[in-house]
Amino acid sequence: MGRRGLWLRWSLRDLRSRWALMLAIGLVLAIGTGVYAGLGSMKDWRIASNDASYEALRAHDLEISLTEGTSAPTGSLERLIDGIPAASRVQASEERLRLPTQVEVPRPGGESLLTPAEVVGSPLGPGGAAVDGVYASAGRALRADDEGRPVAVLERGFADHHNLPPQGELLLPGAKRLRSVGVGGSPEYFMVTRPGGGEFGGAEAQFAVLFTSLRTAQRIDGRAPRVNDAVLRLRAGELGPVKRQLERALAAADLSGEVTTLNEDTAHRVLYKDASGDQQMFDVFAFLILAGAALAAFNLATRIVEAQRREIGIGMALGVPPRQLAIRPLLLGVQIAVAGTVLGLGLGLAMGAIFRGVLEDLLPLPVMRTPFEPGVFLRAALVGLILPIVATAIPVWRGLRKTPVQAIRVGFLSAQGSGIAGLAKRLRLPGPSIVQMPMRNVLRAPRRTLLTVLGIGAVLSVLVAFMGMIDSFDATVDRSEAEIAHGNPNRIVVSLDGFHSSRDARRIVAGTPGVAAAEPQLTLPVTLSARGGEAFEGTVTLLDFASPVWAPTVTSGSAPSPGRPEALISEKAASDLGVGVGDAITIAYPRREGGGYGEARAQVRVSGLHPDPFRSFAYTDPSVAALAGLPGSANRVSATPEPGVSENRIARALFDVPAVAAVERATATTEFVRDRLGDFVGVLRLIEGFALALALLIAFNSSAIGIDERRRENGTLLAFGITPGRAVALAVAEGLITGVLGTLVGLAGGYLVTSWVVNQTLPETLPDLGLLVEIAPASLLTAAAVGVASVALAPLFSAHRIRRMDVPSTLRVME
Amino acid sequence: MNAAEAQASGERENGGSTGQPLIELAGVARRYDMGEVTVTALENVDLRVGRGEFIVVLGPSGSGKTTLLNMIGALDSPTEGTIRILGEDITRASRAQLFEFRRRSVSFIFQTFNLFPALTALENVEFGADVSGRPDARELAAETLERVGLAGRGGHFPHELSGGEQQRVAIARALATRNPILLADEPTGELDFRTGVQILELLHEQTHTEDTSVLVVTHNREIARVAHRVVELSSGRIVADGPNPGGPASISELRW
Repeated sequence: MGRRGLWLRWSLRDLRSRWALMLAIGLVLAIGTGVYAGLGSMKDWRIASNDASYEALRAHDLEISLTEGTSAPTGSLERLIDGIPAASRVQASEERLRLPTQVEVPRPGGESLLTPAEVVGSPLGPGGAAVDGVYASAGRALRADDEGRPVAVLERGFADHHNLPPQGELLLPGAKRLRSVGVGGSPEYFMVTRPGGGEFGGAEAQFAVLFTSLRTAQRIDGRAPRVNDAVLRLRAGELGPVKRQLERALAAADLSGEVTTLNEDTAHRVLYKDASGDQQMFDVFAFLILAGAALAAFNLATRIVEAQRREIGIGMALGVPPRQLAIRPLLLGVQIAVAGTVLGLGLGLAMGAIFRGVLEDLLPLPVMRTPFEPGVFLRAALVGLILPIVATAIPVWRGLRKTPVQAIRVGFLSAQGSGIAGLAKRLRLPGPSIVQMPMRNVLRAPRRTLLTVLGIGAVLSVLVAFMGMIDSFDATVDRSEAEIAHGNPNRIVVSLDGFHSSRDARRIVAGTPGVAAAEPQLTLPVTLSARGGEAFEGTVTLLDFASPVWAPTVTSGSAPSPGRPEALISEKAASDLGVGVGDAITIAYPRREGGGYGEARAQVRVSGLHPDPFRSFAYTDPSVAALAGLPGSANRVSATPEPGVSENRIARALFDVPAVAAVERATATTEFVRDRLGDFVGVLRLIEGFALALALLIAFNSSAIGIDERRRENGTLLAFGITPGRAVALAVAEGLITGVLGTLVGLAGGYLVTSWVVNQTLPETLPDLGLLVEIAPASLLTAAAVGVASVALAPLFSAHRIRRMDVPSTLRVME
Repeated sequence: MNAAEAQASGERENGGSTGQPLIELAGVARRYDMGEVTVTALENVDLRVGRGEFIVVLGPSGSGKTTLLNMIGALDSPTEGTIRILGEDITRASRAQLFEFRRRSVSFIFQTFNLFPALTALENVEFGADVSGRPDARELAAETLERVGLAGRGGHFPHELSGGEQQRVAIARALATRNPILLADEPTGELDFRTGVQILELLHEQTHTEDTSVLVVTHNREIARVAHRVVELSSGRIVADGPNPGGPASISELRW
């Protein structure tokens, strides 16, 4: 015990004398492991939150949606459900009425909001809706006695984005009013998507959903009580057979519509797919941060133990067995490992709270679950535990391989090699010999320099990749916006409540005060596919390619010719479909058949390509409308406001026109993408903050140890009359060189990560968007400034140790 | 040689100074407070050193030799007394003035050489010339390196040189400053006899050719034999200060 006690006491003294440095290295490891644990848990947290939220609100298993523009009398869908053979499997069902409309939301002290909206009316039981319940995050939820009353719950994302209070007025066309009693949501609207926006969620800012009772919705509709939607929850068992029975029942009832499962719901799909897809990106960031921390901790721990080289040599000379000599430095490694793990555990636990706040902004769900994930943490902690021990074992092993006298000598026989400084011998910088020192110091310890550079580079890659992703999104959205707005930046789009004749559609809008020109369009939801490529949903818009209001740009090929089955598709769509100009694609589209709609397919020639990165937008000539059974029809109008007239004024003028469902800027699509991006940036900013903190810690620690290692050199400089300021300047210059090298690694690494994320990962989460890889010069400069400045300025924080140096003690032979 | 020159030469040979002393210590003491105990490194030290003197400061370990050297080199300040170098009282000098003093007035040679590992031999010497503000630093460095017999080794890094070569580079670095005072702390401590003798020859030569005052700290009494004057310290006090009886020995006579 006596001997063991000696080593322990010695080790504790080491700890006492270096506790700040070892804590700092532990913190480096803690940030690496904690951030890894946090980022690594994101997918599990999101899925757990998704699952809990869907369960809490009794999300549907199946949904019956009648084709847009069609409906059925109240009760008919319930009877249809009750009539299927598997009716006993239905646990609960509800008919609903979903009404596209517009809403005006007065705002105190500001201009009121006019925005497209949807009223969702569900029957209200004692606990609200029995299926797809509506929760309230502020104010109150709907109650059974709200049935038929003009009250509603406003969708949370919309309310939060526009800072709307839970209680307020909601004005609908036709002088109808609702009073919002709360702010909340429902499973289908956990993420609001746009028609034609594909699987890109985040349209909450531009689209208001009003949850109310079925009778209230029917009163707003103003027609005979009708429904156009039903949702069901089933008892345990296969969904397929029930779904098929419902489809057959619909056909038998001569009702046109579709039956979908919850998994087919866009919001559901996006929420779960996003969780997996984003995790790939988070894993890369997590790995880079952990790698940076690991490299840095390894480097720093190794250097601390190398300073004990002489004592190891003295021990060898005294005959101490190598195993015992290894105890003290290894204990140091254990102490760093323990510090890193304990701090990392604390940080890992805190990550749940930190990321929870960010996740709530990104995905406001009624139930958030961010429990500590021990499995993920343990994976990272293992690195944090093993690495410092390995890092301290290596110099011990190297020290034990020397002869005792080699290890003990101070002076000329202890001199290390010159690394690759010899290569720079011939490269002499202009100026006195002292100016050569920083570069030579960097080169004469190539392994140490490399580890520091890689550590900084890995962490900086995260910063560059983060900025690169934002820049890439911005560039892509800019490109879309340029295409949508070209020639007519103030263009607005009026959506009608159904199909009207083109002449009527033009008249409705062109006759509105403030409108200079109007062009009717027909937009249909379609599915595009081709042999050898993937199929995806989108829209095809039939418009006049010679219209003065707006027409898409043709980058290759030509606009579709009148009377021919041709289409102009996006470059991204062509790439995904594996086609080019002149090739054939298949378009599945709705065709009017009697009182309803069926699905039709047509082989269409790709006449040309347009540059909008959204692949879902296709265009063709109005002459092919007859194929859809809608000749001369329109459901949208593209319009040019008169100079000085705002979109809001035109929206207000059209508000009470029954045929008008929505009025918005043509660039609304890109605006919601930017809004969505803004939410996502919150997560990335957090990662950026940790990466920055890590970079600064690594730089500071490396510099502090460097000043320790060079104390004799610094002492000699001071003895020769070099001022402390100048000695610090040499350290800053050395940091500058290391910082530049680390920054170059970071820029290259960041570009590679950005390319990988944009080209490999994001296409899985955002398949509809053709992202461009771009890192703006400003971002590169910012990253370079951070990388260089953090390492170059780090020595300033240790400058006091040079200023206050006791030169005689430093230069003494005996330590 | 005229009489005055002869007298000056004789005084040098006999350890006397000519004119105003280069270094003058009066009543210098250095004490360290170690909590309950006060350690006295130097006590009541009076010392005058003239131009071109070769002085050996002798004494056992802990006698205060290195502390004395550090005082003269302005690396440390006395608790009591005054130190005048070239007529300036450095005990009243500001921190900036002390740095200037070390650049222009004194040069150090260390037992462990303390060469800059990132610089070649030539660049280490050039450093010395740069620091003292010599405009012809590079040329002076080359010339000084040649004087110490290392003309062909200028492009080598310190770890590529032997101990003796490293110490010669260190001496060349100190000489390149052209400062009037050279302070050497155990310059032969790490070296074998033959190399040590070579080093002593170089140091001794400075007193003749450059009129540089050289103070060598050592515990080796044999080295003291070549000094113009020997100052012996014991327990922080000067217990002897005077010329070598019979004059300084020739370096070739030394044996240790």
